[in-house]
Amino acid sequence: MKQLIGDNSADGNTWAAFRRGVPQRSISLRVWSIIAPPVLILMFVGVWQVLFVRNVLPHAMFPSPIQVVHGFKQEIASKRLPADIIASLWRVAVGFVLSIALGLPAGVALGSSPYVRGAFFPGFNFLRNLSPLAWIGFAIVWFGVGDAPAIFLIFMSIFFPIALSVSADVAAIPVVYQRVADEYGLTRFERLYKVTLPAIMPRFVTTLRVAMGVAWLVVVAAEMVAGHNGLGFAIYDDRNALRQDLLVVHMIVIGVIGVLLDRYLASLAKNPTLQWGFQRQNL
Amino acid sequence: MNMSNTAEFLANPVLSLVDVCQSYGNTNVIENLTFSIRKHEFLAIVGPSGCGKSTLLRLMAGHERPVFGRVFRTGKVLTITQHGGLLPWMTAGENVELALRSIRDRRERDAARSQMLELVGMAGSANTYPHELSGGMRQRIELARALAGSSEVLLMDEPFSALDYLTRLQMRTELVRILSEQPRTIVFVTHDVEEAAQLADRVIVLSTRPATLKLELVPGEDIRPRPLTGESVTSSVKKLLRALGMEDRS
Repeated sequence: MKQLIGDNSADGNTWAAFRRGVPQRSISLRVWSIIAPPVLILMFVGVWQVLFVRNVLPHAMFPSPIQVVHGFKQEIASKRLPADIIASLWRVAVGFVLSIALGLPAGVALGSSPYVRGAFFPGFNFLRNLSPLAWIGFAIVWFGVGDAPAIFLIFMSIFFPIALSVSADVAAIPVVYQRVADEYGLTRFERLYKVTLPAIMPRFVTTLRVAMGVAWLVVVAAEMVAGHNGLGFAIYDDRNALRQDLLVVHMIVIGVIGVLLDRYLASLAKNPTLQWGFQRQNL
Repeated sequence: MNMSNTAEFLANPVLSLVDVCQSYGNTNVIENLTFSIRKHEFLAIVGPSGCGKSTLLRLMAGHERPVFGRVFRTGKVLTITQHGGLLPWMTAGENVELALRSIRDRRERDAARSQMLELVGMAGSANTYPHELSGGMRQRIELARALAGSSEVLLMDEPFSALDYLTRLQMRTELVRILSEQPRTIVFVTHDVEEAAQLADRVIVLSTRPATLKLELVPGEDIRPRPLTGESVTSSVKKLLRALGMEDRS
């Protein structure tokens, strides 16, 4: 029995899209991705406001969307919000860069040499399994209050995952690339920057995205216990002042910045030298 | 070449294997293999799947050491594989430049790169990444890189096996043309007896594992690639298939 599995012949738009070389599905998906999220957010805010007005949400426990908007204006006007954002971003940036600067070479060394792995991996694994929050006591004693303890805690949270992920990626580099390096007589340094690092870069972008997510989570916790400013400290302050409206403001800001940072790191994957790592193999 | 010439090759070979044995654990892969390759010879190695052809190439390349016997070679050896050894994060031009790093002068290096790409008919693809190229184009770039690498011997491990039939035919002609301009000693591992009969000066047939030398054949006719339907190819294919234990029913 004949079965019709696809017929777009009557659809003029499909034909036009086909002639332009753009599949129909990707057009509708793109439009949907642009329209759907703001519509859903507006619906959520609308339901939230209705529930607040009808007293379904207790006013002492939940702010209304309008109160949140007022809180946001207040934070902007007092210039506290921009200062907190900058403080948190600075700590995350320093902790992130430091973790990459040390985690990348540590991972390459662990992944390249069985001797390094044999010697260091047990200790590395022990430290990796300690919760970064367990270091809070030491962080305050060693560094006091301010930038340093937060940076230290961020470092302790993401250094190990970065190093572990890089070591696994280096160990998984296909033998054929190593042979090319051997046969064409690449020096150790050339092998590192022409073969090893480029070979792991596509996966490293994903590692960076995961690490940034963790760093952004940890900075809030670190600033709550060892900070005098920053978004984490602001949340701590809001809780003490029973300002639920500002709590929501800061939660929204943290979420939005987290998404923006992730979007930025994800955009690195569009670099032409990394595209090979994101091609689906039709084997 | 026939067996009487072997002594001559052994006297002055580019690459020789003497009583080479290779095993992994309790599995013998190669057993007492002895043969030599002369300068600018095109040697094809055919054998049943899994008989140890790729192992043999790894031994010749020096990536592995034999458990017994000796491998001699003069000069540099480069490998071209079926899976493609192009570094995917480099453009075609950068891949070729990998073999031209000894040229210090930038302009000289660019000229050498362009010359190599032109030789393999890929002059316009210097800035293209391997994943943007077809299988045949990638093999051409890999060939350009290997030729730029100024090695005496090219080890080709089923280089055209991933290509479609028509592209394979085209690549055979191209390979012969390129080698006429840039002569090299070629060790060409293939499972395609027709390919071996068309291209090689000499064909070696390996037995099933553990691989031993089963047949040494000289297809004859100096013009290459030999015509597919010509007498030398058809008779060579018959002999090779018989040696591989495949009955010819045509």
